[in-house]
Amino acid sequence: MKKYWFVTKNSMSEYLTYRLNFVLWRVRVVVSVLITFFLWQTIFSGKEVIFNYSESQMMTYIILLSFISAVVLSTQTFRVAEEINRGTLSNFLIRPISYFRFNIARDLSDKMINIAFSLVEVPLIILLFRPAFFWQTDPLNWLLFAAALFLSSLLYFEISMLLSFIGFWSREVWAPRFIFFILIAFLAGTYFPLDIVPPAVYSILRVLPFTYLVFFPLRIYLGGLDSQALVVGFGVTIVWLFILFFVMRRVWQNGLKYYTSEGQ
Amino acid sequence: MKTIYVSHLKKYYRIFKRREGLLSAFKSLVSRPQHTVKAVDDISFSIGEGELVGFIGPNGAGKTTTLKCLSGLLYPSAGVVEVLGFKPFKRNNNYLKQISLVMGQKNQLWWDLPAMESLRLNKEIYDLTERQFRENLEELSQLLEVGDMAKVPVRQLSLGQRMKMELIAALIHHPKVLFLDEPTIGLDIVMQKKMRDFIAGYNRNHKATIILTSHYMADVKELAKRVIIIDRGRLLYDGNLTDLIKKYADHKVITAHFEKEVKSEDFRKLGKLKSVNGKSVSFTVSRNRAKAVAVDLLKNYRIRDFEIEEPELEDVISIIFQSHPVSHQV
Repeated sequence: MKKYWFVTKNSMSEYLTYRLNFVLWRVRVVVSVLITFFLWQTIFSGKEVIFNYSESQMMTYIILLSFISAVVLSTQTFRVAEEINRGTLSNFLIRPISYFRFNIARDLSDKMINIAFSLVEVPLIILLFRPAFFWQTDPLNWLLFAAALFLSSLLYFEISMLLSFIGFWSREVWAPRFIFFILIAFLAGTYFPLDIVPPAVYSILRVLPFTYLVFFPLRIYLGGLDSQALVVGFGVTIVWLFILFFVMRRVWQNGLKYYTSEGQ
Repeated sequence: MKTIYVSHLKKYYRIFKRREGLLSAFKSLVSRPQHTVKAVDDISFSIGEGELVGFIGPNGAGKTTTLKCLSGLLYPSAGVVEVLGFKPFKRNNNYLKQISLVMGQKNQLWWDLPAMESLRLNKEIYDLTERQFRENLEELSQLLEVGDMAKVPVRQLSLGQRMKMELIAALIHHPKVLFLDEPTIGLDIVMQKKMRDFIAGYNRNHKATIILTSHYMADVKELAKRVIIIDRGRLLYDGNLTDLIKKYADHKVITAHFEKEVKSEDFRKLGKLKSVNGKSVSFTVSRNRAKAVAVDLLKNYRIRDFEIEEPELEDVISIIFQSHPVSHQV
């Protein structure tokens, strides 16, 4: 296991080499949070409840988004496609190291750095703009929130790896990923809580994996989910985790047979 | 048991053809003609422990593809490959711990970090004890004369320095089997020489089995007793380097340095002129006539110096490639 810790460590120092890049990335995150924040503040002006969300719930949702994104959506797995296409994947295949664990370790460095920054940013935003922020007090909800975040991260990892594996068959890996980003933006709840869409649509979304990337953990934090909703939510997440795990392994094994280690 | 055993290995690639021009680029959105490239087409050989074998062939001959099959990167289309008793493509950890593949143009080192960080990671990957790691690092650093370079971020190293660090990273676990693909590419003459000395030393000291591909015949000549020649995926020759020259070179090169200027016309009838340079003439004659021609020359001219040599390896190789017109892609 120590070797994977070294991957995380190296990956972090690599990250910090490009400080400006990183700082600008964080600025982008903060700005996008602020945009949604002001948008919803305007919508709420003079109203108590919109789409069953109180102002404080909605503001909390928006602000916590940046934290959730740092935990769940920060990844370097897009590099996998590049490594396949450039042939640098060979450097991993030739050594006794699991490429999957390597990627988890590399993602971990991403997540740790992003979380560290968002733990500074979120309180800062709250202090500066003094929104009606909802603090969850029930320890059980915190626990479930943490569990959901963990599962969501794994789920995102699997989806993102799969997208990168397209690289085995095609050099055009960015188009599918771009579509995926748009899907995430709408279907995972990074712009608005998902349950404000018509119930028919929402019931479809609930069986798709995207819902469980961002919306589900956030909903748990906000509280008010009954035990049935929790069981269904965790259940669907775990089913998707299993399905995608096997698909991911299968695609990887087949991809390797197709792999030509070009350019190397 | 042979260290490396390859039997009827085939590796076919499917590639998409695309003609030039924007219009055909659009056409390729709809349909793309596919065709198969036989990168390696039915090759068999085996290599014993501690052997150092040179792999020769023009660009696209299938050298690298073969090495990739041997190191487990590529899945063979057909045939059997066994190295150290393992099937490389299964990429068993116990197998991977005993081999290494060095590719001259690619790097495993983390670009933005000092090489030491990559080496430390490799120490963990290969399960080396701190002592093993220190010893191996010390040995390799001394042989390659790298000094303190391991502490400098890799991107700031020169090509030669980087190659050395790459080599250290690839050998830190003392692999028993080593695949070297163009290890001297892009290096200057001095560095090439050092790299060759190093490879020879590593082969000797660790009884390592090494396959080496190179464009530089000097690499092969100096390092390998045995060569395997492939072209367009087919094996053309497998054997001793000296036998190769005897077998394929039906001529010798005679160079004579005369006391005074000579006319090149006089030598045309003796053999095929290679070069005429004032008082020196160099020409090739068939192997069985070499002696007679030499005697003839010594009798008729005042000669200051005189050499009969085997032809250059490059020449021999190109003779082989020309005399084996293998049908191109199907």
